[in-house]
Amino acid sequence: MTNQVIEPISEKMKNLDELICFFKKSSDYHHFSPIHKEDEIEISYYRTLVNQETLNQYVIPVFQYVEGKHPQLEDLMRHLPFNDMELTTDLATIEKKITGGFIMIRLLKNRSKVLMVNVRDNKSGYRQSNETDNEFSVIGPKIGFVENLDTNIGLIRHKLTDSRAVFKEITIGNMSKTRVCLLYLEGITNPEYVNTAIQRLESFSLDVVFDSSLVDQIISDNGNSPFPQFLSTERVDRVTFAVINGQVAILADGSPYVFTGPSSLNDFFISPEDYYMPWVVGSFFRIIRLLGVVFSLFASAMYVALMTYHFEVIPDGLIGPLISARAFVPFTPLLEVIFLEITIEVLREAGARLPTKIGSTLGVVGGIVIGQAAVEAALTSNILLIIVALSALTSFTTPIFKMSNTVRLLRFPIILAAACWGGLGILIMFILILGHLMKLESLGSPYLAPFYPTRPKYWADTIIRPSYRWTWKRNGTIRPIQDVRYVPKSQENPDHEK
Amino acid sequence: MKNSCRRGALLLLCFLLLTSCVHKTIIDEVQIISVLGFDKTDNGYHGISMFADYKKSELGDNFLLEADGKRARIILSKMSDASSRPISIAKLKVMIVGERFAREGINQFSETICIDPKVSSNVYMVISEAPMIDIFTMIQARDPEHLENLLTQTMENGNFPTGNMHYYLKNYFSKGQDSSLPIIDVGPQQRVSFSGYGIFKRDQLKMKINYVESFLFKLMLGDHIYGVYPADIMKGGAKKEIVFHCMSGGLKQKYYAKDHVRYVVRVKGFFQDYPENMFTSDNQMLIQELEHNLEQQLDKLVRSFQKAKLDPIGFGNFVRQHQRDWNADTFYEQVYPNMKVDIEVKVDMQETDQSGKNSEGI
Repeated sequence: MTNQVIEPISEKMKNLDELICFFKKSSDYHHFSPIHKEDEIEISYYRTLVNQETLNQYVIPVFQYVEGKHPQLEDLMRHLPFNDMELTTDLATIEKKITGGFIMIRLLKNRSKVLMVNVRDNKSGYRQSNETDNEFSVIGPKIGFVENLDTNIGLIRHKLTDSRAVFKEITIGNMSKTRVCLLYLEGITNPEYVNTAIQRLESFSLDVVFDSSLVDQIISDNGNSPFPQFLSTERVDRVTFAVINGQVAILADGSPYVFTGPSSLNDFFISPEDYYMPWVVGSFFRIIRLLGVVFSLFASAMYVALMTYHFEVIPDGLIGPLISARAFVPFTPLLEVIFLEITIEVLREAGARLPTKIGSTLGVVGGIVIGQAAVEAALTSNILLIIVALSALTSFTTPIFKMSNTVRLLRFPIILAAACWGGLGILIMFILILGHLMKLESLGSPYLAPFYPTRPKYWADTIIRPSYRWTWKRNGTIRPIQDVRYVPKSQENPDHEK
Repeated sequence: MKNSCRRGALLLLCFLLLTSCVHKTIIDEVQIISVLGFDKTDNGYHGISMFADYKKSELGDNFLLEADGKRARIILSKMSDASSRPISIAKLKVMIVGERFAREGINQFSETICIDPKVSSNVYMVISEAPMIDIFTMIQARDPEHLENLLTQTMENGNFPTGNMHYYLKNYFSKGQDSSLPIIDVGPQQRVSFSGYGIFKRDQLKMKINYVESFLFKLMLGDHIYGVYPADIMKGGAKKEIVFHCMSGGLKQKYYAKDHVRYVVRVKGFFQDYPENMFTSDNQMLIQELEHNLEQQLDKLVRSFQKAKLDPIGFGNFVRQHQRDWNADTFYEQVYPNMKVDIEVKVDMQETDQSGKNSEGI
């Protein structure tokens, strides 16, 4: 039963003619003889997959040249200016290649043997712009990945001019036959991760790989975790950085997102911009980002806990404003917070679904008008409005979209726990999340490394971004084969040694 | 997988059961009492509390609740019954004790407050010489934090030693020191003012010291030395008063024998409001006079404590540090009343006040 689904159609066909008949059911399938003498040569292909220009300029003239010479397929092969050609009689291969943008050339004298020529149109339908719109940075390169795998590999190769960079290709998807590529550095990346990744990539099947995030989810160590276990990005510099540090990167055709692993929690709060600014400034922004996450996770929950259970810890000066702001709000703090949090999430979701121009207008309308009106209508207090708006804002400081979604999602269980048990609830949720993170792995490497297991040796590039003088070693928690990234200045010059 | 799901559900259920263990007190559904007062009446105790209602304005309107009863919790619950919302003492700031009640012993009420885990140990405890209701009507007219701010401010910048429930309890339970609490009274302009300090034996008020003595007492306690001291200076046979502004200082204690200790007080500050015909050039003489004066006054204060067998300065604790077989009863009965306390005061001039400039020199 399961095999029937993924079995190619060619398995059921008796001969090539039958297969061609089947192909002909599609209206974009072309099957014709380019030469007047009807029965000598025939070619067939999917019109929508091949590059018409190449076909007209390089393939058809060859047929005109051999006209009347009774050519063999081997002769055609010699004359056709293409490198990706194959003579085959295998129906499965023929089917796979035809659907992959090859043209099939057949001689009537030898009806079972065909010549497959690759004239696939690689560029059509792909966008030209490859700016990193979703992971924008002011400083640094703005070039990002596109939907074409070869372009993406090229982009990485431009940055990583090193023969040690190995791209291993695997085809996934019984209907899409998507090319998925694994990138690693031979002699630097630990082969354990390469093998694990390849093993996982080969051990599942999908029909269509819509995006690399499908692969990401399927091969992740714990699919039920809200935390992303691979860092997915559209930035070339980020992928290059991960790979030179001993991680593997996985690219999928048709997806502008490349994911890298094994990732640790800390990687998700690092922006490439940290490395483009002076280390003091970079570290400051990174700390701001981390504080933002803590605020985003716990601020609303703290409000609920304090207002519902522990008002005695609120400073005296704040008691008055807090109570008078809530004076006419008929709901409990929990309902108040949930109402506002969901409003903000709805606004975000609506903004994400709408076209950019309408989206930004909606943000203003939603943020200011609805917020103000909600306070005036006594649905929420204005202090809470500030807290919720700030915690939504801080969740967006996380550079990786998937992680910022996780942060926003985790807010809700923490708020509910705070409503049930107050400060104890926040603590319980914190411990549960921490426990989960401690157990979590990415490609078999601990997710909380280097904090758990505790390796103070590798704490350098975590919470702060140290100077390049100190980051010449790779992060040892993912066990790269070669430790040294580059030789810092002071070591190059023996005078500086002492 | 199935197992871990079941385990997770069980864990969640256990946590859910815990929800019944917590009491919800939503901030705007309680009356947050900031000042609580107790005094003794002829048949029981009278309690007054003040809470601020912030519903109308952020500044808060003060309201009073009064109740009679024999136990603190009864009085509190009677207050609660008289209010539209339940009262909470979790954010209590000041506890006022009537003088009559203080003389009888405040322990049974202070215990109610101090064993409540929600009540901060920074609660100020004060004794009121004036009738309780007078004090409360005065503070009611001001903003909710008035009394607390007044106490904080005076202890930081004024002549009064730091004292709150934490200090009170520490001294109450310690054997080598007696507790002391500030005394408030109705001052001019219908304001609360400090009139002195009350010295306790266990939980009973035994002795009162006045405003100036409070400063001396603060010096002897040795922490946070700051204040203004009017010193009597003898010059040319006439007694004149000059103000010494104390900015900081320190205390050194020295142990000679179980009945002989030495306290060296070092104060840093400057003179203000020089009397007529006295100038900064006289500072050397003034310092000597002041040192002498302070030594005399401190000696007098300590003697009065010894006579009353009260030890708010903590001589007992100090001697105990140096004596292995120290016993509170024998120390206070036999040793303390005749204990020799040498007091030495050293004054350092820090600044010079403009009032002392020599007009002839200009």
